[in-house]
Amino acid sequence: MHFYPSQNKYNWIYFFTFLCLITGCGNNLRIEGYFPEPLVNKIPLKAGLILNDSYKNYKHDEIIPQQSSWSIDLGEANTQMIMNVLNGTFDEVRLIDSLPLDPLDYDLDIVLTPYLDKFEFEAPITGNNRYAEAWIQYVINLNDSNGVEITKWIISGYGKHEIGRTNKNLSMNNAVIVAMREVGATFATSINQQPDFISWLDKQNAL
Amino acid sequence: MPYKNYFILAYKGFTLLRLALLLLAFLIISGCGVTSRMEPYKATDIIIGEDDGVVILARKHHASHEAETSLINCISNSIGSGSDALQVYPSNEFENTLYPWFEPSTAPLDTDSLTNLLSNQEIQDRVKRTGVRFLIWIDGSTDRTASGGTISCAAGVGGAGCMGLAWWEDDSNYEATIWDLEELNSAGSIYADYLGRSFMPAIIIPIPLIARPQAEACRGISDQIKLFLTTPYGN
Repeated sequence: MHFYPSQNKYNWIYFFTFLCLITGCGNNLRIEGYFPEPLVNKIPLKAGLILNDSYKNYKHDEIIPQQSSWSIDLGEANTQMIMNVLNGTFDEVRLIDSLPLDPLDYDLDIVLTPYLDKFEFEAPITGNNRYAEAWIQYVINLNDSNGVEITKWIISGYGKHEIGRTNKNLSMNNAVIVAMREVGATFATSINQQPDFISWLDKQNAL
Repeated sequence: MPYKNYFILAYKGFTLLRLALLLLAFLIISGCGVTSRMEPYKATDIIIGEDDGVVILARKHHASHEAETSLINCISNSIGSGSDALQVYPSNEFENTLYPWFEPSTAPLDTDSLTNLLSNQEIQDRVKRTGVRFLIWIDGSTDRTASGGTISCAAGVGGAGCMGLAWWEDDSNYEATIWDLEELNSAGSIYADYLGRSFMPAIIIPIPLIARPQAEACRGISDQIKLFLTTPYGN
């Protein structure tokens, strides 16, 4: 039996339906993982955290031509990651709505607003691709309690996970988790080396 | 057709089958298999104590390859089982307990960085609570180094079948580096290279004769780690 897609316009539909059935056209993925509180010396500050809707509900949709479509929901993982990282880094963390501060939050020292700036991935396809890869970039705005910007910190993370015998969605999930944990690790271990943050902290201590 | 012709055809078919079986046996005996090289090096005469634990971690420094999760699990399970089982702390749990210090970008690359890391009392206490005395880094991967041959398959009204021969070589190249978290030094290393050659002859149906160098490497490294940690000179 031979198949010539060009002979009949419906053959293309049959062909792609068949292809979808055997490969799975759409990949819906909700990123799930574990983000421990970092084991670092806590900074003795009270931090406010603003989580915008774009951050809490971040979803990446991408159609890879001639392959498949991906819909990756990072919202819940984003929230978990930043909450746990900040809880381990600062003495106290409180969720707030926006700046300027509500009178009840005047005791806060610093306000952080994270944004997921860029997200890229390499989808595993059958063949020689052995790893699912993910690259993620966050921008974290640090403001003082008056809303004055201390710094805009760009942190990126890279993660990969072998495809092996696991399915490609699980490999992708694990690659994204590695990348997000990298971001958390960088934040927790390097915030004390951020020049703008250090000089702001020195000014606070001098007051 | 005279009966004589049927006998000739049957004889020819029997000869072909015998030849195929001979070829198969030859491949099994001579070709398909795993060759190995193991080089253990122990720098100290320290042996593992009764209450000491071990953790196996993959080196993940964003190189093009990293040790497979399946291999890490295999070594962990292998070391933690049998009559001479050692106490093995789960890799993921260790990384989570000590987060963020054993992530790809923050994990110590040498024993000086490890000493620096463990100079933090809180981190040292956390390590002590896990009971882990020896940290074993596994670096390397299994890669396809060569392949060749062809198999042709055809199907018709009367049936289907394949003919030909395909072969490939997988190289499992790993190095286990053993750190003593109490003495804060490198106790030694184990280098393992397993080369597996697989064949797939096809005579009507393809018959895969697959060598599994990664599984052999797991077994070899695990046995060597046990020996390394339980005997003064580890050989």
